[in-house]
This record gives sequence, C-alpha cells and structure tokens, in this order.
Amino acid sequence: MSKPNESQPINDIREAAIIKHFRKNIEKRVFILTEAFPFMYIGKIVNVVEDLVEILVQTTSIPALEGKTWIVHIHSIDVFYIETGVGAKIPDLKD
Amino acid sequence: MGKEEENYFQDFNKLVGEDLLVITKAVQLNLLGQVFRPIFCGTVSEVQDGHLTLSPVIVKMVNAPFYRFPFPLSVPLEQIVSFSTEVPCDLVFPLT
Amino acid sequence: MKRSYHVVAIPIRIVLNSFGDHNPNGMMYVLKENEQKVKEMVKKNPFSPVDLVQPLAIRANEGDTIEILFENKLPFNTGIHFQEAEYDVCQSDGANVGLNKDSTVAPFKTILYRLHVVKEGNYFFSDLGNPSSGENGSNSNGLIGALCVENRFSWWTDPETGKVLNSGQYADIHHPILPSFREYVWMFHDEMEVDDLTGNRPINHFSNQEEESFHGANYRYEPENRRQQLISEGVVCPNCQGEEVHHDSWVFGDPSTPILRGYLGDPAKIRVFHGGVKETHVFHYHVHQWFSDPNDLASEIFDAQAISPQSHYTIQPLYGLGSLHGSFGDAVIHCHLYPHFVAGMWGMNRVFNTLQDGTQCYPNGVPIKALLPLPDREPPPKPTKLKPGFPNFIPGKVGLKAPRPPLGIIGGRGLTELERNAAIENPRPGAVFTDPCPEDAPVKEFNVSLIELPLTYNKEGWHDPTGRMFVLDEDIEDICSGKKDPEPLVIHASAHTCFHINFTNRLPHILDGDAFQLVTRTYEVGMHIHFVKFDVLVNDGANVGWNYDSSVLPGETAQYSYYADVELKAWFFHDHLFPGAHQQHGVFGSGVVHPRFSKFLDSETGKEVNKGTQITTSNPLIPDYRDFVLFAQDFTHLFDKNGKPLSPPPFPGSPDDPGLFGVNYKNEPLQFRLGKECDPAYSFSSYVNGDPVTPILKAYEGDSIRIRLLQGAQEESHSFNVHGLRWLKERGDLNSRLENQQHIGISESFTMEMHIPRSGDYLWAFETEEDLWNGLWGLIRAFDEKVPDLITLPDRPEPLKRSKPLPVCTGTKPPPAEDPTSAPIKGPIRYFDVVAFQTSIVYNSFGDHDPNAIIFALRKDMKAIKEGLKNPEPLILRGNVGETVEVTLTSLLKQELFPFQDGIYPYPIVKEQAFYPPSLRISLHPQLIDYDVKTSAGETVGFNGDQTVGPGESRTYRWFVDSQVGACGLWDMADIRNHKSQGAFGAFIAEPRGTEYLNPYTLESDTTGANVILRNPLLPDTREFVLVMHDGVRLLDKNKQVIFDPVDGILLASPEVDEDLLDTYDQGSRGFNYRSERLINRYQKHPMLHDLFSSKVFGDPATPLLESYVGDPVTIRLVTPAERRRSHTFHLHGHRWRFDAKDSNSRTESFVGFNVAGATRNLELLGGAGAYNGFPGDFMYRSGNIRWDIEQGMWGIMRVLGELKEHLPPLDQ
Repeated sequence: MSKPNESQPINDIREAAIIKHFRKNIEKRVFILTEAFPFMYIGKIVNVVEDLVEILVQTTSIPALEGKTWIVHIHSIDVFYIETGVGAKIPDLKD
Repeated sequence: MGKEEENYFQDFNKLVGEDLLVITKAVQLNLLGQVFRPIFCGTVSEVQDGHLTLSPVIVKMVNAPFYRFPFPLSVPLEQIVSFSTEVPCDLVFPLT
Repeated sequence: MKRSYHVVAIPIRIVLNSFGDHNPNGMMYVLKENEQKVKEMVKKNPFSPVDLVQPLAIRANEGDTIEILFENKLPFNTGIHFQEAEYDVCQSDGANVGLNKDSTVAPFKTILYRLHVVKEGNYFFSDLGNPSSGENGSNSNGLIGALCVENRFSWWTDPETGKVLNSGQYADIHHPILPSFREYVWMFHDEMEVDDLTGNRPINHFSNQEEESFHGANYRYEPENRRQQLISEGVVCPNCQGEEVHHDSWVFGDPSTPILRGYLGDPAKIRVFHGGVKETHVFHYHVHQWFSDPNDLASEIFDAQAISPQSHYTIQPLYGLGSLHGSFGDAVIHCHLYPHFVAGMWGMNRVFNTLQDGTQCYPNGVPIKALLPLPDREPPPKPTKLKPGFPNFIPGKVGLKAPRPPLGIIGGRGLTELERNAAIENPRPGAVFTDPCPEDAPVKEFNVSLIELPLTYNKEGWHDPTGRMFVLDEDIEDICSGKKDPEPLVIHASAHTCFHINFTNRLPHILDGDAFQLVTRTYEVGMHIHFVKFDVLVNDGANVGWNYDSSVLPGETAQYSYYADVELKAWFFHDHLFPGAHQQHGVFGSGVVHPRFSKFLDSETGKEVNKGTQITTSNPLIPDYRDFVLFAQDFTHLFDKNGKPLSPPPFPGSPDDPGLFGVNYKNEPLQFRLGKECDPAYSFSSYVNGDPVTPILKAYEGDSIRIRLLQGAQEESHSFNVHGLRWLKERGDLNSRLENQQHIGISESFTMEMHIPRSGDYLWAFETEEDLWNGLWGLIRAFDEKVPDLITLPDRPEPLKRSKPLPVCTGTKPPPAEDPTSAPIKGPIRYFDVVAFQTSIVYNSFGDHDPNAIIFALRKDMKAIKEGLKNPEPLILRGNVGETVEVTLTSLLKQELFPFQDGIYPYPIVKEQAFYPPSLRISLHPQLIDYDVKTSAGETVGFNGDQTVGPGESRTYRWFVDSQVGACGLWDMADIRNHKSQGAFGAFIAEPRGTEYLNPYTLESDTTGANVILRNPLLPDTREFVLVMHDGVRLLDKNKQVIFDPVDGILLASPEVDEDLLDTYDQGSRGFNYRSERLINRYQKHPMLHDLFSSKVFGDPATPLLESYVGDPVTIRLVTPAERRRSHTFHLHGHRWRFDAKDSNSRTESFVGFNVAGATRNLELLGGAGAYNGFPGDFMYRSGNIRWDIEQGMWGIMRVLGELKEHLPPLDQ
C-alpha cells in the first residue's frame, strides 16, 4: 500500500487510487450508487479521463436516461461494484 | 510509526476476512425507489489504496435491516465517514 | 413495458362475514379470467364469504404502460378512474367530464384505457359513472380497487403456492437487487349496504336498535355485535361481556377480516387505501412503526395514521414484521375510531415464528394455510412437538377467553413447559417471548392505576359523573380529595429507557348506565401502549387473536415492560379491553420520550418531576424547552350542573355522535363568554371573561416549546390550529414545509416544535366551528417579564423583573390594541384597503344563493359587487417575501342584514346551540406569516388588546412576509357563528421575492383574484389558481327555500334519509370559492348519472374554471378556512405533486387529505398542465368524498388547452 508523504497527502493518494482502479477495469460492468439523482447507474466502463468515468449506461432509475453514455465524477460515487469475472455478477435487470 | 500515527485504513489489510460496519457520506441512497441510509456491514474481502470491498454485505434498510445484497459492494475510502470493527453484523440497533 | 388486464364490472352478492351479513347489491371489479369462477362460487356459497370476492388488486412496475380492457356488466354506465396515473384524459379518465369524450362505458360495452404509471406506489381506482352517494351508488357498493405499482424489474407470486399471480390482495414481491417483501392491500371502506341472514338490516342485540353502519376492510367486517350474540346465546365464553373478547380467536376463531400473514422479520408493505365514501379513518397497527413518507428517511415516524376518502399511503413497517425487537404473535390492525372498530373495521397481522407448510392447525382445529418463506431469507424453524411455535404453545381453551400471560400478573402463574420452551432465556414479567429492553438500558418504574371519579369540565358545572382516568398511585389521594386538579396522565422519560409499569385496575366492575349508554360490565382493563417496543403476546394490554389476554381484573396489578429505543413522540396509552365503552370518559394518557439525558422539571417550582401535561425539559446539549401535551376529546358524556345530559344520543348506547368535546378534561364554551356587552367579538378576551379553564401553556418570550398533540377520544376529526406561531411539518427535516394547522384523529400523535418570538397571548384552538363553539381552545401565554409561577428555562437568560402588574379580568371591553404601523420599518410595504360587508352571493346558475353572506373585498371593488355587476369571490391577497403588508380593515356590517338576530341558526346547526347575537365587529386573521399577536393577529384574544373593528371603524394590521409559505388562510375571528361560514374568509399568498402578478386574460397587473400569472425574473411564468374549499354554507334555492344539504343534494336518495339523521358537522352546502355545482340541479334537468359532469350537456360548472395550456407551470394554492369537522379529500385528475413542495425527496400524490378548517397546501403540478405526457383536455378537480361532497357541488374543471385560444394569452416562457 502507498504511504503518505509531505508532498502527497493521504487523501490525494486515495483519490488517485480509486481513479486508477476504475481505469484498470475499463470494459468491465459496473454498478454505482450516488446520492445525487438519478441515484443508480449500471453499465460498462468505457473510459476514464482525469477523475471522470465514462459509462455506457444500461440501467438507471429512469428509463429515459438509459442506453446513453454518462460521465460520472468518480469522487461522487458513494458505493460501487465492478464485475471482474471472478465472484458475483451484477444481475441483468429486465422490465 | 508510533501508535498515534497508525494508519487506520492500512489496518484494513489485516482485516481481510473480518467483519466491518461502514457508513458513508450520503444522507440517503436510493435503489429504484427504495431509500436507505448508507450503512453497510460485511466481511472485508479486499482492500486497495482507494477502496475496500465487502463480501458478503448487508445493507441496513429500515424495512429489512439484515438485507443481504446480491453482490459485493466496494466503498471508496474517501467516502467513508466512519467505520467500526466492533459492531457485529447481526447486532440489532435502531435505524431511525 | 406494456401490461394488459381485462377487467369486468359485475353485480355480485358480497358476504361480509361468517355470520352471513351481506350486501345483496354488491358490485365489484374482477379480472375476466375470474369472472365465471367467482360467480359460481358465490352461487354455491350464498351465506359465507368467498375468497375471490375481494376488491380487485392488480400490479405493475414503475414505468409500465398498462392497457385495461374494461367491460361493464352493470345496468348503468360505469368506468374506472385511476388516481396517480397519467393518461389521455379524453380516452382514459373513466368519467365524462367537461368537453372530453365520455370515457364511461354503457352496459355490456367495453372500452380500452391506457395508463402510464410513473412512480412506485398506491394507485386507487373507482367508478365515476355513478357518483351517487346513496344505496344505489357504485362506490359504497364496492366498485373500488387497487393498482399497486412496484419498483422497476419486480415480479410477484402467490404467498401460498409461489405461482405467478395476476390479481389478489396478498402477494410476495421479488426483485433482482432489492429484498423480497410481503405485500398486503388493506382497503378501508364504509357505508356499504348490509342485510343480515334474514334479509333485514342488522339489529344490535344489546340496544335492539338498527346497527351502526358498515365499517370494514376488503369487503369484510367483523362486528362486535355479532360475536357478542354468541356469548349472550350461551354458545361461547360464559360470563364474558363482549367488547373484551371482540378480537379473541380463542373464543370465536379467526375473524373474516384480513389476516396479513408473514414470518418474523419479513419485509412488508401494507398498501393502505381508503375506498370508502364518507368517513376519515385512522389506521393503527400494533407493535410496528413506519415513516410517514417511505421516500424520506427524515420524515416523521407514525404508528397511527389518519386517512380520508379516496386517499392512500404505503406502510413499510420499520425493521420488518415483529419490529426491531422481533416480537411474534398477532398484531391487531384497526381503525382507531372506536365506533368503527366496534362495528368491525379490524383485522390483524399474524407473525409466525415457525414454518407453516400447511400441515399445522390452529388450536381450534382449523388448518393453517401454507406460507412460503421469502426466497432471500432464512426459513423459520419447523414446528416440533416441544416447540410448536405460535400459537400452539399457548395454554388456552377453545371457546373460552384467552389465558392470562405467565409472570405478568402479581400473584399470577409461572410458565408451562411448552411456554418455557418458547420463551427467551431469562423471561421476566412483561417480557417472556421477546425482551425489548437491552441489558444496559436504565429502568424507570411507574405505578399507574385506572380510577373512576367525577370530572368537572368547566365553570358552568358541566361534568362527567363517571369520569375514568389513569393516575400515578402516589397521586390518587390528592386527586380524589380535590387537592390536585385531574388532568390526563402524562409520564416523561428519556430515550433508551426500559419502562417497568405496575398497572392496577381500581375501577368498579360496572360502568353505570345513563342517557348516553347502557350499563356495561367493564370488569377487566389493560394499558395498551403505542410507539414503544414490547412483547405483543404478553404485554399488549389487549386481547387479540391467539395472543394472551394481557389485562387485569379489579384489584389486580399487571406488570408491563417496554423500551423506548429512540426519542419518540408522545406515545399514547389507553385501555384496549373496553375502550368503546369507557375511553370517552377519560381513559387515555401519554408518555413522552425526550432526547437522552433530559431532566424534567416542574415549571412552577423547578423540582424534578416524572409526570405532567406542562413541564420544563432541560438537556445538557440541546436547547431547553417547555413541553405541553394536549388531548382532544369527543363523545364526551357531559351533564350540566342540574344533571341534564348535554347532546345525548337518540337512545342510550347509540354510536350516533353522542355528547360534547373536551381538551385535557376541560372545555370553555363560547356561549358563556358573551360578557356584559353581549358581543361575540370578545369571547376569547380574558379582560371580559377571565382566562379560560382550558390549558394556558405558559412560557417566556424567546422560549422553545413543544406541543404534543394527541386525541384521546373517540370518533371524529379535529383541526388543531395555533395562531401566530408555526412549525416544520416533518420535525426532523429542515427541508420540510411550515404549518400551523394539523388534522388529528384518535391515537395519532404529533410534536410541534416552535419558538416564541414575542410576548403576548397566542390562541390555540381545535378550530372547526362546532369544536370551537363548544370550548376547544386555550392560550399560549408568553410573558415579557418574570412571573412567580414560571421558572426560567435553565439555559435562557433571566427575564427582566416585573415592571408593571399583570393584566386582570375587568369584565369590560378590552382596551384597543396598539397601532402596529407607528413603529418605523425598512423595506417595501404593500397596502390593502379591505372592507367587510353583507351581500348576496349566487353559488350557481340554478339560483342557489346565500342572501346573507358576509364578504371581505377591496374597497375599490365594493361598488361593483353591491350593484350586482360582480359576483363576489373570496378575497385573495398577495405579497412577496421581504415585504411588509399593511391591511386596513373597515367594518360595514349592518345589524338588520343578519338573518338570525339571536345567532341561533335553524340550519345548519351546531351542538348546544345558544343565544349568540351577531357581532357587528369583524377582524381579519392570517395564517403562517409573521406578525405581533398583540397588534396584528386579527383577533381579540386573552389579554391582548382589541383588534376587531366595529361598524364604520377601521384598523390597520401589519404583517411580515418572512417566508415563502404560499397559501395562508384568512378569516374573521370576531364571531365564529355568525360570520365565517357566511363567507368571511379568503386567502393570503406569500410569493417569492420580486414576483409580479398578472391577470391571465388581460395580462394587467393584479394583486387579487384567484387566478393569476406569477412572473418572476428568476422563475418560470406560472399560473396560480387559488381554490378555497369550504362547507357549512346555508344556501337558499331559487324559490328562497332553505337547501337542506347534504340530504337535498343526494342523487337517487332513499326516502328514509332526512336531515335529522345527519351528524351536525355534515350539515350545510359546500363548494369552492363561493360556488357550488350541485349535481342534483343537473340531474333534474337531465337524469343521466354519467353525464352529470359534462359541459357538453350542461355548460361549464359554476366553480372556478382553471384554464391553461399544455405544459404551463401550474401551482394550485388550496386553503380550507371554513368550517365543519368533516374532513374532505381533494383530488385532481391526471396530475400529481410533491406531498411536501419544499422537499425534493418527498413522495408524490394526486390528492390532499384532511381538508378541514385551517388546512393549507401548495400543489406544484409535476410536468405542468397536462402532466409529463402533456395531455390536453378537461381534468376534474373535486372532493374525494362521494358521500356527501361531489354530489353537493364540490367539484370543478381544470381545462388544459392544446391549441392557442384568443381569450387566453400564452405564458411568456
């Protein structure tokens, strides 16, 4: 694990690490909850630019917002789950 | 490193396999209309620099306080407001 | 996705219980696939309930489009009108409104409705083809149903079989990422036609009179009368009385009413609907609590919640079935209004602790139906011989009363072996099968007794000779000897308290008979509690289902135990064995659970106390506060000082609205407060009449206060108003709206947290006319300087030493209030010159009119009104936040224009009518905005100066628009009998800063009028419609004959109905904004029920026509300034708004419940006019009360135009 030093506070390290984690998982399926509307995104990570993740969103709480690319601010994500191929899958939600 | 300088989050590494209760920043979260406070309890399955993952994980919903979420959840460390290793996941406590 | 249902409306015999009570002319909606089956089953079972005969419950997911092929097999036009849904109003309204195409269906025809269900929740549906309220109407006969809209991606199965379910009141709902839950549809309804087995109206075997009308749920009811008959005929339960075993399954087996089954901890949603036509009910559910708004975790917690006709909500019991502490057993669900409860409006939630696979039986041998565990939860253990699970470990005997609980009664029994196997490790009194108290919780012990003693309610000697009340044992002597004034018992504790209660029954065995009721053997009582956590089996203070009977006989002491897990409101307690017989005598009390670490002080001495309706609370972390508890009461059996019964019922034991009213065992009727001058304007003045005997809630200027509002008895709605103060609707949510009125039904509990900005006397009142007339009011007195009998709040600065003597009663006219305009102020001022005068108001084109109306109007409009050029409308004033408003009011009232010089109106009446000559003084009282009550409350209250104006006099009030509260009622407070229902009301609207108001037709600037465009530089142009809902109006018809509404307005009325059968508070005509489109007038012209709302047949109604274009932002300001106790639901077709306009987390609704004197709401239509889908057409706004509002004219049209019309300029967006 990285250690904080004087030039890089611990918060920066963590923020950089979570961005890295998303970048590492481009092309994977992700589940995201945010406090802000529309609260939930399920889709595929397409790209990560700076601290933003580009997602092709399959499902949100609002059908009209689905099937579109959304850019989500990574530091606004409250909890998430990325399918890595091992472990549980995010269910396919069907109307 | 002295005791007071100990890095609590780094301690998570030692906690892989242990139970943890985590609370994040949001006032409430919303899963398809079901709202709940962001209180998660589960077994730490992975710790990285920016996040930790709980698997299996209980989402403390007011109508289903022991709801086992169907897949693991990862929490960005910077979103964590507080956590404890001393609250067992089966502890009954008020959520209002 | 698209879902399709084929629904048929059919005539059906509805058997309502196993005693064969039935509705021979029932009607129901049913899925086509079940139509034949249900008909055949009813044919085979003409005298027993048939499961399939239930209100239709269908389901869909959020976002679905639902197509309903509707087929009508009834002999008149019917339809299905869906609330909450969005739809093309011209195709799918299920009604024939305005200029729309008729979407009702002729007999044996079909129609296709297409609905969009935008949000999860309850969607009520009902017929509007036949709006008659009588026995031939469709709604009271059952043409109602429920559409439950689930979260996206849900599916549902039958709880017994696990098979996919197309309709049904119970379902298990599943979801890929959310917990599975039990869903129960609970459909209250009332006033259904009922015949007994012989085909005659059921007779009450006790009084030998016709039974109370039907009150039930899901086409079932289980009346006490029927069960009691089995006792009196010697079939069951020798020596039982009746009410104490009404819910006892040991005696009678299970009721026919809904039993909601689940396992301990199961998540659940109860979809509560009110499909009834008339009454407001209170849903109460033992053991469990829920958020008032499931979408908002900051919302209030309820365990009893009122519901008015055609409204609905979802209950999600916190922590699942059995609540936090995991209590299994039978939790009764009932309407808390006792006459309804007694009439049969109850069922239960049965929480099993062992698996039910269909092989088990109840103690009476009836098989227990299988219940599949929810798939994402651990199944409960299988029953074994040693651990058979609830209810089979309870040592009861079938046919006899339930056994007493082990350990609970001092000197009582221990546990049987089976009980020991089922019990927790360390059972103790009151906590045998679950222990609600954590080990470390501090214990607080109270010794409580229930006693009987005469209670005197006022200075005139009105009294209840058989008052009954809870007391602490240490106070019995002082109260019985008269040393202490009796008041309802209120005990205080902090959160995280484990209560130990020793409850002793010190009542006589017999409740004596009198003009109000028959002799009743109330030989056992319990102390049932709300909100706190407890073991329902042994500690319910009740006798329910297969539980124990946790009550005690005279002389016995029960030991109860509860836990307050968090800060709670005032939890209600009362007897659950004979509440119908004696709760109205005073058998109620409360515990208040304060924040942790609080200390409770006697407000006079500062000594620590543990009880009292008025105390001071001190806390190390939060501001100290005064804590006040008020209990409203009705059905109060009072006699005057000579022993004459006051407002007795038609015969003893009749539930027909007996008796009067009280608050904390007191009342202060206005008839005794005329003073020497005989002027009603000073009825509230302490100068003229001294202080009232009702509670005066004392504080200092600047104090924080909490009012705990409860209703202790017995059946009716009350409307609590505080003048000059306000509180957050949801106390835990700073985004919540401000209010100063609260509707309350029995057992509900509300905490109003307020701050008193200035000294003075603030009026609190239960402000419907009859309540106020009979004395339900008092004062909040905020002192400016120190007084000897009130300690300072410990964390507040000491008030100044008294520099002037306190005012005293002089018996003479109060001094005039100071002129508020003399003080200099900064900022913009808006002036209004308002006159009050008498005039005639024409209510509709059929000539219904009020020749003796009193109105407020701008002086500039008076001439046109008086000359008949302008038909009066309620005065609407507006001001913006940040402005000071100065209203100069002038009285032009004339003695000779009052129709009844003694103030005694022959119709509509109030209870205890008395001489109360009309006042020529008048005043203008506003809600919610800010003012000094000593100068500008528009009323003469307590020791405040006179703020009313006499003929020819003027006075200026100064109000501060400090918050964007929107709709505020305005009304006269000088004479609540002779002015208000006659029209002396209006509204003030507090608008955002910088708003201009434009006439929507001329676009000229216009500050008054019910219909304006709001223009603000930062906000979209918005159409604002002010709807003033009001009732209690005395109208004459075109032949100058009094209209005896509601009876005169009933369509298809049966001949035996007349106005004498009505409750006083149903009397009078009603409508919106001085207009009423009574359907009977239309019916006489064109007797086709389904056409009555059609403008194509009749032209537009007289009520306000709200015109807009598709997509226009629309805000409806709804106020109910006047006047009767019947609460009205408001519903607008095809549109929704946020329940709390200030809170984006709020749930959305298409109705507003509880419109009763003082209610206000701001409805911002979601998606604007025509809703999100932008449908043009005529949308009806109306009351939800089929009986007796819609027929009587409480409806109108919102016209959403799809094309530009010359007369209505479009909004400038």
